[in-house]
Amino acid sequence: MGSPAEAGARPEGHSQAFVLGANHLTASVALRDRLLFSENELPDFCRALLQVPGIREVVVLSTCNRSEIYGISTQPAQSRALIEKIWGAGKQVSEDEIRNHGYFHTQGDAVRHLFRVIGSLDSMVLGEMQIFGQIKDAYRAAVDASCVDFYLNHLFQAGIHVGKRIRSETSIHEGAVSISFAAVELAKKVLGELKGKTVGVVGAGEMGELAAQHLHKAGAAKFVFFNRTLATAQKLAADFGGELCLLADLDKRLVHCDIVVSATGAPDIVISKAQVQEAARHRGGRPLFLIDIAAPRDIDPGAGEVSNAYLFTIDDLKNVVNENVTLRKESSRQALAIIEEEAGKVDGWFQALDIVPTLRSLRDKYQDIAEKEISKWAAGQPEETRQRLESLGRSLLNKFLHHPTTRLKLLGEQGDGKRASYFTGLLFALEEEHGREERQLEANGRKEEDAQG
Amino acid sequence: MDALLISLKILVPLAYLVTTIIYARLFFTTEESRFAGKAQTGLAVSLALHIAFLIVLGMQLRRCPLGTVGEGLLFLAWIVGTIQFLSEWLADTRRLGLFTVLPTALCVVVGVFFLRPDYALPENLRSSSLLVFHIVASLASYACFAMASILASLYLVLHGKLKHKNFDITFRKLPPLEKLDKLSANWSFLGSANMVVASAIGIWWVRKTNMAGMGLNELAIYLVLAVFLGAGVSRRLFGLRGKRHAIVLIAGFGVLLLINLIGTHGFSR
Repeated sequence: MGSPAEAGARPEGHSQAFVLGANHLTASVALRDRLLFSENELPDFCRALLQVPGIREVVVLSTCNRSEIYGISTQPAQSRALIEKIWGAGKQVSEDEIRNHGYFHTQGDAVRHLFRVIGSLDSMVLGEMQIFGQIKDAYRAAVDASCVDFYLNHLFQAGIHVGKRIRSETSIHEGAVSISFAAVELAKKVLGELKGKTVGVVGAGEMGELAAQHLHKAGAAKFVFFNRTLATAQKLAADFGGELCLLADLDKRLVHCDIVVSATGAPDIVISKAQVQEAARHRGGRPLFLIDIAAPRDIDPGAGEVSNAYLFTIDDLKNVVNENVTLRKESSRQALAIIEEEAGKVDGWFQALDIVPTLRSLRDKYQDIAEKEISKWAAGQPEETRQRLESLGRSLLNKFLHHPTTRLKLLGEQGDGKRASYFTGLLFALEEEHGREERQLEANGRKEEDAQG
Repeated sequence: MDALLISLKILVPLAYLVTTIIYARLFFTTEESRFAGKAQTGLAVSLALHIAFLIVLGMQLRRCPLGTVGEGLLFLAWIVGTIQFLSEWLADTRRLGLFTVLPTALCVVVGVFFLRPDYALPENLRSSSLLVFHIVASLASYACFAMASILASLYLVLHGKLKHKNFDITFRKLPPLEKLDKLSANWSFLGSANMVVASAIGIWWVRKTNMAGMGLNELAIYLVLAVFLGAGVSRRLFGLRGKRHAIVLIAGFGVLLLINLIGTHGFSR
């Protein structure tokens, strides 16, 4: 047995899957930006690719982290050079640059690459699930542009299935992996849904604004901005439709806040334990969630000891992120096992295709015999008898060919398609039909080479 | 019949213990989908065996199997298990299954241990349908209080993890603090409502059968009811929430268990 990727290998002349691309691991941001396709450019580019000799189907995926061309070609090695030429010419990037900063995989490797991408194992942030939607969009766009047929349809449907399995069977997408999201995640762990909660932002700096943005996205709607001078925080309050308060009023307003984010540049403590204690006492037992993302600290560490008050610092948020990253890495092993399992099925499917011409020849041959015999026996018989004979012939044909067909398909999936085809041809005298198909295949290859020349 | 009863006595606790192990694996793993289906199937099988056990027990005893501590615990366990099973259909509460199925399994094991098939219920108790309603309503309220105290315990666990910045798998798997607080309060309210109904039926039954009036034993159970009702009222009026509310609920349930196990009220034999 060869490697899994080798198991899916198919000889030149047969339709093979390939992927050509550049991503965040192989190319700089500048190069990725130049290689990027806009939504409007995609249909024309796909159509241009379909003119390349050998290429039958294409899907183009273009995001800020990767630009990739998935395709089916009868001669992928030759197709690669031509695609690089067309792509480079369209984007003013040299072919060498694409080749040196990109990657090219065929068959089993291409399938596994697609599955890794769709499962977000190849993403900049492991487990981010945005890529799943982006691949679905790219596939849909290619279908709309009639650039997808039999092979890529199967491949992308299998890919979408893999993405769904990874999402539902592993925890690869769970847990925040950025500081801001970790703050939101912790707030949700304490308060549940953030809808209707009041957020107090202390300080009008960039950090406070960023935290407010994430909390706003998570559903928090009421914002109170505290600052030493109102003028500085005015824009923030306007952006979030929030209230504006002087820092001196914090004592009175703290009781109304469910979440407090403090991010001032003050050298001393801004929110004392006594203030938190007083606010907590008047909150009727409702939890108060405090995040201190300032350096030096804004909130008295003792505030975390107050009953129903939960204080977290930037270090705590980092710990949450680290825990989640570890969890995602653990889950990636499960995701890889799913990918290998599903890629194996696709390999089998590709291999089973080797047997298709033999199956077709076998059925054609016996259908031909059946039809000839039926027409001989039905001659001069009434219409009803003729129909019955035809029905009997069809039924017998299906029954006789059922086992050979299923066994041949199985052999094909197990990688024995070529041998099975050969012996089936010998046993059932299908040489003529096979010879005809192979001659046709060679003729097609010659035509494509001429076109390239 | 005897052979069937003995088989079920072994099978039911065994089924619950296996189900508890599956729920534990579900809670402590990152591959939840591997165990989710198995856990629900395990619980369904356990509940089916459990109800069969109660029916066979009733047929053997020729009465409703609610006459002793063991029978009461078995019935209580069945209600808690059913609540878990139904809540899994209504909301995604599988992650919490471990914390309801484990006490259910313990109740079943203890219940089977305390079974007294030779115990003959006095005729005046045997013939009273009011008593059966009283016991069923009481056990339903106990089940609700059990759910409330389980959720309150989980509240305290999560509270501790948040205070000590311990972001382990238990932290990740538990629902938000506020949700646990609200759910435990809701179960406590339901339990109180059931206990009020049970008490009303009990008082009616006592009067109807001309039994002795309220004694210390009955006062004990009203004390528990007062604790739970008080916790609910204090929550609404004085904002008794969070940690203190959780401690009150757990303490209330502890007293309830004590009263029943030492036979101060109800299953006194």
